Amino acid sequence: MIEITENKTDRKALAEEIAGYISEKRRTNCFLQPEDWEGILKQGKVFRMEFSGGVYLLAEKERQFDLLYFLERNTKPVSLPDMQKPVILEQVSAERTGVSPALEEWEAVGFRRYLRRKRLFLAAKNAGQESREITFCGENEQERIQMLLAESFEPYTSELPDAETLAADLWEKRVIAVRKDGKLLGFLRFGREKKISVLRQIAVLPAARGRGIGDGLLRDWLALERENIAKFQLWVREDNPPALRMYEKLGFRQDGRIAPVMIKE
Amino acid sequence: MDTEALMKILAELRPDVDFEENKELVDSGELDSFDIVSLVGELCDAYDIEIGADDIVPENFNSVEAICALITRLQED
Repeated sequence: MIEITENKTDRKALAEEIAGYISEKRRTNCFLQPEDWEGILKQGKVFRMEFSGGVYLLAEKERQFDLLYFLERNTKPVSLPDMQKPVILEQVSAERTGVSPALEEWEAVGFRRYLRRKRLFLAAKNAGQESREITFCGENEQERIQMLLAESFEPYTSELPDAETLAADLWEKRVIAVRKDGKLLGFLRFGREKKISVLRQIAVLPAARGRGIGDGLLRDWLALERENIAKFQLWVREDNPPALRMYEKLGFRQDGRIAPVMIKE
Repeated sequence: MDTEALMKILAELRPDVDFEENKELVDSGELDSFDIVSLVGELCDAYDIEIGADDIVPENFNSVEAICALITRLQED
C-alpha cells in the first residue's frame, strides 16, 4: 500500500524539488512558478505520494485536491487511495504534441473526463480603435458578483476569486459592469500577467442573455486595456460554442494550448 | 551551434510568437512556464545537453540569443 503523507518541506524546497524533476525531463502537469507556491501553501496542506518512478503532490483546496504529477518517462500513472474530496487533474498541454500521459491512462486508474478548454489570444494591435464609455462594478456589488460567479461557473477549475481577491479587483477597477436601471446585468473580470491582459471570468444574468451584453463587455475590456499591453488572452470551454463564436468574431484565435481536466470522485 | 534548428523548435512550440523581435520573451509573458518546461525537454533532446535546475531561470530564455548562449555553454561543459 502506497502512503500519502503531508509534505513537510517549505516553499523554497518544494520549488527546488520540482525544478529538479523538470531538469530530469519527467512528465508533469506542474508549471507553477516558485512564487505560486506561496498561495498554494496558504490555501491548504500539500500531501505527497511517492512510488517507483514517480511522485504525486496533492494540493488541498476548499472543495478539492489538485493533483500534480512527476513521472519518469516510462512510468504509468498509479491509482490513488480514496480521498475525502474530489481529485482534479488538469493537464495543460500543446495540441501539437498531445496530452501525456494520455487521458486513457488516467481513466485506467479511476479518473473520468470532466471538461476541456483551449486558449485564445488577440494581439493588442488588432484589438480595434473603438472608444467606449466604461463603467466598473462597485464594492456594493461584490455579493451579487460572487453569487453570479457561483451560478455561472464550474467550481473546481474556473479560478474563481475568493472574497479578498475580488475586493482588491473591485478596488483596482478590474471588474467591468453592464447595468440597466441601476441593476447589474453582467460583468467581466480581468487581470494582468506581465504584458498580457487575461480574461478571468465573464458572466451575464440568464434573463439578460442574447442581447449582446457579453460582446459589449469584451469590447469594453479591449478598449480599456489595448494601449497598455501586448496581447489579450483567455481560456474557453470547448463545450461552449456560443462563447467561442463571440470571441472569434472579435478576432481571437487559438494559440495551440489546450487543457483537458479529469476528475476522480 | 545550429540556430536554424532552434528557430524551428521555437516556431513549432509557439507559432504565434515573433522570436526574432522579442527580446523579453519571458519578462513580457510571451513564454510562460509551460513553454519553458517544454523547451527544456526539446533542447536537451535536440542538442544532447542536460539543463540543470539552476539554469531553468527566466534570464536564460528571454531571447533567442540567451537560449543560444545557454546551449553553447552547456555543450562546452
